Amino acid sequence: MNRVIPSLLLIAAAAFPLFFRQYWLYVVTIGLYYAILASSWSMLAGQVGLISFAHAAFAGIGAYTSALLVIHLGLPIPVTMLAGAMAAALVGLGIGALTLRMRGPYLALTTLAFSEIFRIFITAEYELTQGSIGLKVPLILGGSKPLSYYTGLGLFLVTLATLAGVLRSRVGLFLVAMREDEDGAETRGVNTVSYRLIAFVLTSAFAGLAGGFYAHVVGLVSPQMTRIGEMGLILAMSVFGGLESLLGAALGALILQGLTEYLRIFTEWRLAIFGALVLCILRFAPAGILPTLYLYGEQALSRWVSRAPR
Amino acid sequence: MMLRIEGVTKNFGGLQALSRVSMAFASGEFVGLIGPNGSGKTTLINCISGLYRPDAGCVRFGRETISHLSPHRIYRLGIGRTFQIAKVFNRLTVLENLRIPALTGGRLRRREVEARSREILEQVALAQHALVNAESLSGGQQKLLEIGMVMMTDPEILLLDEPFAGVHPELKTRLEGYLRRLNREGKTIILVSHEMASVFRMCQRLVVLDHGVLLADGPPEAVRSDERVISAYLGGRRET
Amino acid sequence: MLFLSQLANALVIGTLYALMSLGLSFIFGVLKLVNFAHGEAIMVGGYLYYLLASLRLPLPLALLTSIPVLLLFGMVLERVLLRAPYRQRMARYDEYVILITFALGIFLQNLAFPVFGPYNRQAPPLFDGTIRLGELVVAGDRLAGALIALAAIGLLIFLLYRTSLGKGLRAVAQNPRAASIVGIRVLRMRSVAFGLGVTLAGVAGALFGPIFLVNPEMGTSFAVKAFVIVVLGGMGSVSGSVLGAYILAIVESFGSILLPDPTRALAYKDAYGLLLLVLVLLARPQGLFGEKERRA
Repeated sequence: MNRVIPSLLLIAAAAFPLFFRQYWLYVVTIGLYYAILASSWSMLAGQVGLISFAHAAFAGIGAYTSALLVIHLGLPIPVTMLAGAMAAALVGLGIGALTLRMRGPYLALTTLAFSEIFRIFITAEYELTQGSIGLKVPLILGGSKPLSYYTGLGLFLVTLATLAGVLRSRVGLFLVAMREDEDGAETRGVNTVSYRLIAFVLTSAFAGLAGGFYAHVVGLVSPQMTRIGEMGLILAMSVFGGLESLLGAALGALILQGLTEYLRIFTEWRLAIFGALVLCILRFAPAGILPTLYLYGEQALSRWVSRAPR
Repeated sequence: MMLRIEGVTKNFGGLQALSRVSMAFASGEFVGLIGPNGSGKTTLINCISGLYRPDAGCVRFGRETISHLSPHRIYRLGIGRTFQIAKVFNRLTVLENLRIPALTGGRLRRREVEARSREILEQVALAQHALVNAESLSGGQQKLLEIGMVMMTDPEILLLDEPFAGVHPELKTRLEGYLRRLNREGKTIILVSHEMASVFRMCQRLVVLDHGVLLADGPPEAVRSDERVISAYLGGRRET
Repeated sequence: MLFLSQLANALVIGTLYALMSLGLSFIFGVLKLVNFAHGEAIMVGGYLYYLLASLRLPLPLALLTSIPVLLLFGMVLERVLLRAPYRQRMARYDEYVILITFALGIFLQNLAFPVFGPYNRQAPPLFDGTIRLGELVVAGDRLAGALIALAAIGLLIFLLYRTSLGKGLRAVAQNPRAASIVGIRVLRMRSVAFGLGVTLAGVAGALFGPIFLVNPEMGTSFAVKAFVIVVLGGMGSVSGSVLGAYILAIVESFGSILLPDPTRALAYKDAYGLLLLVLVLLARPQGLFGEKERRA
């Protein structure tokens, strides 16, 4: 059972471009961008217990780094995307080293301040970034929609595999222990500060990678992608899918991204609706909507099975 | 002298929890650290294990000053500790709990870790519980597990904070036996406990704290008849 | 002369900053949480004053009317989002409060967009014209805002140190368990504290309205400033917040002189806060007036 659902999802994902070609393929490709962001963010918030409000800003760092390197140095896109991830990781290292020594809300405070100042910076440095107009950026493989989609799918799978691998390694064991009891872990030899830092830098790097991908799918990088509202959307997706599950958060991202397109008629109100939804989920179903539904579904199924004729 | 506490002072707001406390421990000693509630025993343990940083004074281990190091470094140097309320990782299995300290330093290989955890499981009598989550153990078993975790990396010094509190009498006997054996094998043990019978049975030396001040330090018989110790325990307030 | 007028301006703006960060600091002191919807409380206050003023209410009355509304708004929010998780000792409570207050802020922001539109609104100033002190010129609306903020801070300090409600609030801030043993209603105090914190932010927002502009995203940059100020002053310290507010205002005011390009100078005015935050975290993470956290 545990392998059936992921395999089905994988087949569906691989076959998707056969059935949807233009608009929805593009929507889902953007959805994959959010899926990388949401699953990496939910690993940090749900598994490590660190709340960063700079995930959208890190995506912005990746996007601008990649864009500027392609435009000014003419480097190939895969290289610049990796450079974008590295840049985000580096900034993450700086912020993490500054704040993760202390307990409490310092990371959340500092990352929020950083995002705001980063947005100011890219808006103000017009010669470098074209300000709020944004930078025009070349597309992946000439802008082929199916190929962009498969690139996104590949990056997404790499993200999931890496993060899941980390969680299953001894580092993952330490992370669980730290969440259970920080002093307990520390006095048994776990260097809690450095493992928190590793988790923060790693997830920030994936945000940067996602940002680079986004830049070369949309073809335009602007300060819009680092707005606080975008961070709110990432949080909504992760919370919707369940903070403690990487795959759940990714599904949450795809579903909300699909809904966003679907709810175009309510353009103005949809983000308010999402906001209200997130408040309700956090308050009443903190495990997330998908896990809660899954739990109910499983119970209903087992009840149905036990009632079935012998 | 392998562990020296030199003039350690620790304040919390207006409260002086430790006031220029000095003492030293030799290798292989079994020392009882006693005193009334709030006398600073746990604060001292926290200062040695690195959870607190002394406001003044220092802690030396061998030739090294350790009072500025973080707890994980101090543990890896060979000073292990337990807590009044056992700190075990509830949602991990007993075996995973044991693995964590052994995997941190990167000193042991996987196979060695497995062998060592089997050995410890036998010693603390938790072999048949290896695969259950730590939260389903009894309080006493959690205390044993905690000592087992600390022992995974074979530290030289054990700081035990109330290891007998809330432990079933039968387990307590087993625990006493285990601690005696560790001491025979050369471990230095510093034991904080209110169970005077056990303390007098096991320790070769007693250190008494009261209101953050070192009151007495010597063999159990001498300490037992010390007037200041008696008055501290009978509730006589010292003038400060 | 430039120096003096910059300084006067910094003191005026600093007073408004002090009012807004006291709200945040106060909530932290009593509820032990950072309200990440603080910026949106400022925004709500800004719009509330704007709406009441456009009903042609006399302006001082508009400001006064907004106070009970904000207080109630804050208390209801605490009741709905924060009380039950606190009482039931919810697992991961520390992370919950960060997430729920941030989500609340996002929700309010996204609600303000369709309700008020994305445009900038300008609330009418309480006092027009300028004040001249010799060669020193201060805009009247700013000075009036600062004086009202000063009065509000005075009122808060009176409330905290001279009334039984204030005693209860301070008791809960120091030790909720002990407070509840001596018969103080801890839950009610938490609710009142959150309400008061939102009110302080909202009044600051109302006073910002005429000086800066009112729009759905106005809160974010103010919230960031408030965060910097409370970390600088030491989380939960009243005097620390006030001092931190003036320090930030002075740094912003003189920092903008250092940049020759005027558009950049204006844009980066909001960025000095981060610089200050980094310095504080490097040198004295517990803040100027904060005590080091007791571990274990």
